[in-house]
Amino acid sequence: MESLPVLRRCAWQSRRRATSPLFLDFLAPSTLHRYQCRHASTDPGSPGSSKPRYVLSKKQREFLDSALRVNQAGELAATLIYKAQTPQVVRSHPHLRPLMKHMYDQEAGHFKTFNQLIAKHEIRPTAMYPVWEVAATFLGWSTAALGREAAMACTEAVETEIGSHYNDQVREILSWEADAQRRGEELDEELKEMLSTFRRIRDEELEHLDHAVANDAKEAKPYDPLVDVIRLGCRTAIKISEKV
Amino acid sequence: MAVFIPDKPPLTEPPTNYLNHVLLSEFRFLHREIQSTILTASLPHIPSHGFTLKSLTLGARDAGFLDVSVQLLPRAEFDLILFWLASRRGLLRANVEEGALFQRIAAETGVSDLGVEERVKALVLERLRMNSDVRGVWQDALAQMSLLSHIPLALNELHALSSDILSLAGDTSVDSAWYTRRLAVAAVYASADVVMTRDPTPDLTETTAFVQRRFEDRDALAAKMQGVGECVGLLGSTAVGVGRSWGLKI
Repeated sequence: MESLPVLRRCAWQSRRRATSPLFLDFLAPSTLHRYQCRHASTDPGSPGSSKPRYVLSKKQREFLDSALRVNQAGELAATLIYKAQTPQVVRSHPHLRPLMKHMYDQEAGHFKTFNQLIAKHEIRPTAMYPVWEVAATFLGWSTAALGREAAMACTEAVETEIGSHYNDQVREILSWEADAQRRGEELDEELKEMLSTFRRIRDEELEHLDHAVANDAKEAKPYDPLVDVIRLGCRTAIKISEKV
Repeated sequence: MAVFIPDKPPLTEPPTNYLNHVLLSEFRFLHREIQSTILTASLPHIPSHGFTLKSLTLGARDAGFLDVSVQLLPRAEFDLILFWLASRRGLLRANVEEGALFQRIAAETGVSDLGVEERVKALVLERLRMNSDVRGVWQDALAQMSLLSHIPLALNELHALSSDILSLAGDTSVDSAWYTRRLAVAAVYASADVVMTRDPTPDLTETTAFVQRRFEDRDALAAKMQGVGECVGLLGSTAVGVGRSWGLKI
């Protein structure tokens, strides 16, 4: 008989546990729900390590959302630029075929990586998706029409912007890591993996930049206005994709 | 009890601020707990009293609060409606994640595994069935939601529902389809919601048929759009190909 109150308390608690997400889902619809599904894959305090896991604040999660959104849009644009450039560049300079294919394949790989990340974390893709598709195809096509040097200058400008953009993201995640260390906590496995992915992709983008410069990007005429306009366009596109 | 984690204060802040911060979070948490207790207790009164202050007052009494505590809910009836919507959405998620909804439906229809489209349809119907108890009072709720000041929150909830339905169904579109698919599901659900308030059949046969027709319409429209897109793309690439074969540098 004396176990009855205990039983009742257990039942009460288990019912509370079962229903509490429903209450809070209403009261904090966006943050809580996202928090739950974001970390569904890795449970708090993985058994291997004794350190507590570093919990991201709302602002940090928003940063990560917009970073992944921008990266996906950027890789979409990059694949389309190379795809539009390849036929014209290869036609006049057949020896560039392997290089163009190599760069395109790498960009397609990056695009796939970010598509998976976006789908996994249920992040909204940018609303400007169709606009970027058209703009990137036009950019690739028009610079290739200006010749090999202009096409390479376009690559140089785009990869410079993208490389520094990835660098900013890596720096931000590293600052979280430092913060976590000061608190005696540990970054989520997934974040660590993301950090190494970002680093790898940044290095590959900068490798494209080197290829472009090696293939007379600096000979493009008119070099300065062309590169400046493309870089400005990239920065604007990044700013827009962060928001919408 | 849900895990309660106060927002992390920066390390540099003095301890008094941290105490304030924790107290404030505690207070907010308590406030939310009372709100949700009253709202939860009001749910059983909805079929008989509708989405009204009466239901809220009865719920507050059931939960052991004074009648006046209804004032903790600044939007009154609309809070009850939002709570209804959000809690049904949570229930839908729980049905799928714990109740094995898809396996049940697959067993009923005799297919081994449901595709994304069938899952979306099943989820929409399942969600509509959750509203069948409040069918009689649902028009009032729809009227409340269509008030100008309530539209943003109502639309927000509709978006959350369609987003949940698609992610539970395993949709992984990461381009503009992300937007169009959510729009389509939201449109089908919202129109079926209105149709259901006038559906006299006890097991929602008319509504089910309506949803079926809307999904067929959507498929037809999607096929047309895809056809037009492919045609334009083909024409474009043909034009460029012809130009290149003439030796144009394009």
